[in-house]
Amino acid sequence: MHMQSKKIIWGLTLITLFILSVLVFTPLVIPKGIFTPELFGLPYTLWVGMLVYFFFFLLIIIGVSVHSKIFREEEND
Amino acid sequence: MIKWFWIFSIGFVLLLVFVSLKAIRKNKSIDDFMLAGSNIGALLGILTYAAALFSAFIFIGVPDFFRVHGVGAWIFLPVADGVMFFMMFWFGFQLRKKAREVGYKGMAGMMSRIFETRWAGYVVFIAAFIFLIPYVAIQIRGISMFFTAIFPNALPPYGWAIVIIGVMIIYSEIGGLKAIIFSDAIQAVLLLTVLAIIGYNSVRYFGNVKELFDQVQQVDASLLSVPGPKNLFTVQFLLASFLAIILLPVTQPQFSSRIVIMKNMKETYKMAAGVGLIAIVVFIATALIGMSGAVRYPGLPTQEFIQNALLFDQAGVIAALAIVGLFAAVLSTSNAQLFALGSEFRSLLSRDEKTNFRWTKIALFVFALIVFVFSTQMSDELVLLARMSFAGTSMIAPIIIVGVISKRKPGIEIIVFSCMSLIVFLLTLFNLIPSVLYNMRVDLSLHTLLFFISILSIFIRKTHIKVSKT
Repeated sequence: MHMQSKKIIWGLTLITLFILSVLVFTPLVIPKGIFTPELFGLPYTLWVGMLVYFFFFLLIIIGVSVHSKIFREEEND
Repeated sequence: MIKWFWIFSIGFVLLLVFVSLKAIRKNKSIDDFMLAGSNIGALLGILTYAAALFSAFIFIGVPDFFRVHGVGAWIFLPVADGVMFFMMFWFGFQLRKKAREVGYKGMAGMMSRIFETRWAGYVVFIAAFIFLIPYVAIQIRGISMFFTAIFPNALPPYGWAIVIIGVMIIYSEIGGLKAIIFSDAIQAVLLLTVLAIIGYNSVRYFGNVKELFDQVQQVDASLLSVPGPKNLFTVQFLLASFLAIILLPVTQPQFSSRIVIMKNMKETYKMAAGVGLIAIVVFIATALIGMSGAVRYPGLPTQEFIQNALLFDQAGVIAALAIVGLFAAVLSTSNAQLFALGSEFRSLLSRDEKTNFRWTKIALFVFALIVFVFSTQMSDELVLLARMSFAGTSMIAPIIIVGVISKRKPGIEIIVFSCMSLIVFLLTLFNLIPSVLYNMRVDLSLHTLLFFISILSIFIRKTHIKVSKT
């Protein structure tokens, strides 16, 4: 993968992280007093919150793999 | 249960002695002692970071938080932690780069050098001191009360506090950070195992997850959504907590030091992803334990709920493992925090290495004594006190972030405004200033203000642009 593509992916990862972080605090994730629709018996905010965490985790994996290639660190030793 | 308790306790103590001896053999210099040789691999890194993060706060506090305040607790902690793990490697990369340039013994000393004034270091150290000591103390108090309830005829709460602090001082003063990291690894494995089993048992009691939440709905439907039965999870509360939590790798020295001491950046990347993975198990388990408690023990005080959920509802062997796991959790997290404070103190000293080291060891002992005094005086609000600690230290985030990313000396205004914010935040805690002004939480207002001041300072002073000296 070219460096330019990696930089684009890194940028998109940051933008997605920011948008998702903002959406968490909207009624899309935390509707006041509403716990439906349920998923596998889990109330709405809990399963959507879990989904958000899994997305964050996915972004960490993508971010780690791209960041490590763009920004190389000099070895300590 | 008692038989298993003694078996696990003896096993745990023997492991502690073993790792301390192993650490002593590896400590060949003062930096080895204080910074574990800065040679930590991914697996040990994941376990030590997880242990520093998932403490009694997770074991006792978070299940109780779910039980009392409902599913909004998932947004309060796991969601914020998800971004925090991202912050770990992004900020970790910047921090390690800066540490190579200016040297690192502790964040306070590093900031003094970057800002070219000792005041930067003093503010960083004071914030860590003010907000970590009560946090350590509340954990020790929690476990002391817990042990007193289980073994009413053995020791009073202050007696257990002395035992915990005593063990903590002995092995950290002997084995240094390496010993703490090894013990963290034991604790993390114990915690993960116990929480996974108890979380599973919590669902098994109801048959399945759907039945569990159906019963929660019958007990109190407001637990299934925000803001929860006590109206805690407002958008402002969640947002202010989110900001304080994602800044933990920046502002709390037990986390930043664990990033710096990793062998290289490759291992740091693995650490961030690994802790994120462990967190999934930990948070799902704590949520299930808490929601199960909402049905089975809705009106009980925290202490009694935890005793029932972790001990009396479990088979003897699991209950015994939970007691030892909880003891290990408090021990390693408290030790991590206290030792990090010691490192911060050392980084501010300017005498020769041996004298600094001697003073650091004395300081560690004094900090432990202060923790003991506090642990006899604290309230039982573990999660909210932890949140206060996170929010308090987050006020100095601008100093550290701007200091780390700047390519030349940052402006003094960053220190001044961070210090002022810290004071204002403290005044709100003592009710000398309302915690909500003009319908806005003061901590959230301070975060916003500090953000814009930092951006302004960076661009006006052009600290993000490197200029070669002529």
